Amino acid sequence: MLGPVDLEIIFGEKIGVIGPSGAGKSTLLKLMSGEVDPSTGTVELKGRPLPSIQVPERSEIVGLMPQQFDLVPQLSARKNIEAGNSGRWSFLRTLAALLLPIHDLNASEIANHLGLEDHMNERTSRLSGGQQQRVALARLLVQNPEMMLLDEPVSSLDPSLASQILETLCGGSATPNSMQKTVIASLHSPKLATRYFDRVIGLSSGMIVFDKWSAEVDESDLDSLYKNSNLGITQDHENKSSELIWGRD
Amino acid sequence: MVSTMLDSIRTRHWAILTFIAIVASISTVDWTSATHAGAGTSIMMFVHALVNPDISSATLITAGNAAWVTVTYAVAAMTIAIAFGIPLGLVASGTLLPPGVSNTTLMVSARAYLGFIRSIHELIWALLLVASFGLSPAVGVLAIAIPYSGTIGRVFAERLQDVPTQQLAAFQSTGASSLQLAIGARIPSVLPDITSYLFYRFECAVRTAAVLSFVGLGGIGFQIHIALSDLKFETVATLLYTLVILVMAIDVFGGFIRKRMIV
Repeated sequence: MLGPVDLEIIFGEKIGVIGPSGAGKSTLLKLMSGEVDPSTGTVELKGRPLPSIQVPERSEIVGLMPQQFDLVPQLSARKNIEAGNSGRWSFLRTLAALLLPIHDLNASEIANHLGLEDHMNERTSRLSGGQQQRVALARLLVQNPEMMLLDEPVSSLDPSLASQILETLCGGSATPNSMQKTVIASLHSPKLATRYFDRVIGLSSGMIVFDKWSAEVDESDLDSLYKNSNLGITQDHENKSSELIWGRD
Repeated sequence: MVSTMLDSIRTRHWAILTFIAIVASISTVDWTSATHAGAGTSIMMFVHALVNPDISSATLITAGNAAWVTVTYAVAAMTIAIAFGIPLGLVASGTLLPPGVSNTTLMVSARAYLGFIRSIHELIWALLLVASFGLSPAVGVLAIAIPYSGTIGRVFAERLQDVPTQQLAAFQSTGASSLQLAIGARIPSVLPDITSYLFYRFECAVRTAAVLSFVGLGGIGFQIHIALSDLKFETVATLLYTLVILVMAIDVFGGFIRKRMIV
């Protein structure tokens, strides 16, 4: 669902991606995380083609929080959050974490920060949408990749919690895990995007409508972004061609 | 248009053939024996017994002991079946190792083995084992355990393959290896389902253990057999109710465990 896209992202940038439903926001994030391969073109990470970076190493560089959370519903919230350690943990350490009541302190700290401390031992499928969203976010924060890709990270949260989390992610408030990270998040709200992110990319029907510093985004940009979608401008939806070069220091 | 018409003709064609096959099957069976003169009286006697089961303490103690023996054998059989079925199922699912020749070889061998042992019914296994080792409780337990390990392995393998890929992809992107993925996401995902399936198999094992009393297992089937030979229908009724209560208790207990299961 993504037309030709040419993007360069610099390490440490905080980018908000906005646009109407079906604009290609999720696809863009999936392309960057390597979950989806482009039909033409390349995705480069730190100057290397993404497919050439194998999973354990890739997980240190890039991590995605999917829109549907994609947690393991039968596991407790704690086990889902601790899964963020998989890349660093050996098989035996993972097994021990699943079978024995050993708690990862870092995971607990992150969970507390997100207000999940009372739900850690609950089955994830029994948590509310907002709680599951925070579990997915906590898993990504535990994984702690250099670049965090977040697909609608605050869509199920109340406004004050959403602000608090975006502030945390974008380095406004002090948390050890989000400082000096590249953060790219898709959002439905242009207001949140311009308030918390340095750079805002407007996507519509798979095309970049604008790519600006958040201070420069004005009403006419937003008008064109959301008006285009209503007109239903047709794009080549079959081709997910893109040229993504990012993570250059 | 033409193809839809052809499709509907073809569907009707198969429906008619199926109907003919069913009618033919039913008419092949000799139903006259089921309607012989004495049948009505026997059925009435049995219905009468079902309403008036023997609840004397001696019979209840016999039923209780027999039920205990049957459950013991079912537990023994299930333990062996799980110990072999679960690891074999894990291999047969092909999800343990990354795709490759060795994984495919292991997967196909495990599937073939599971397919072989489960396609032979437990009664046939009992006959084969009795012919080799003679009558003994161990033979009865093995006769249940062998085909059950095949069924359990196959169901476990299928469930493991059916875990939603999105969920697995998200888990794997955290840097998990195939083995970490298996223990961290695949197995926990199927654990509640497979637990309730194992309780269902346990029910089946109790019923089969009752049937297999003829190979020296003893237990509730053996008692039913004795009571029937003595024409003590009231005792038979008590024993049948015991079996029903036993199976229902396992069902309730399984549901209880499943609801409280958080991995």
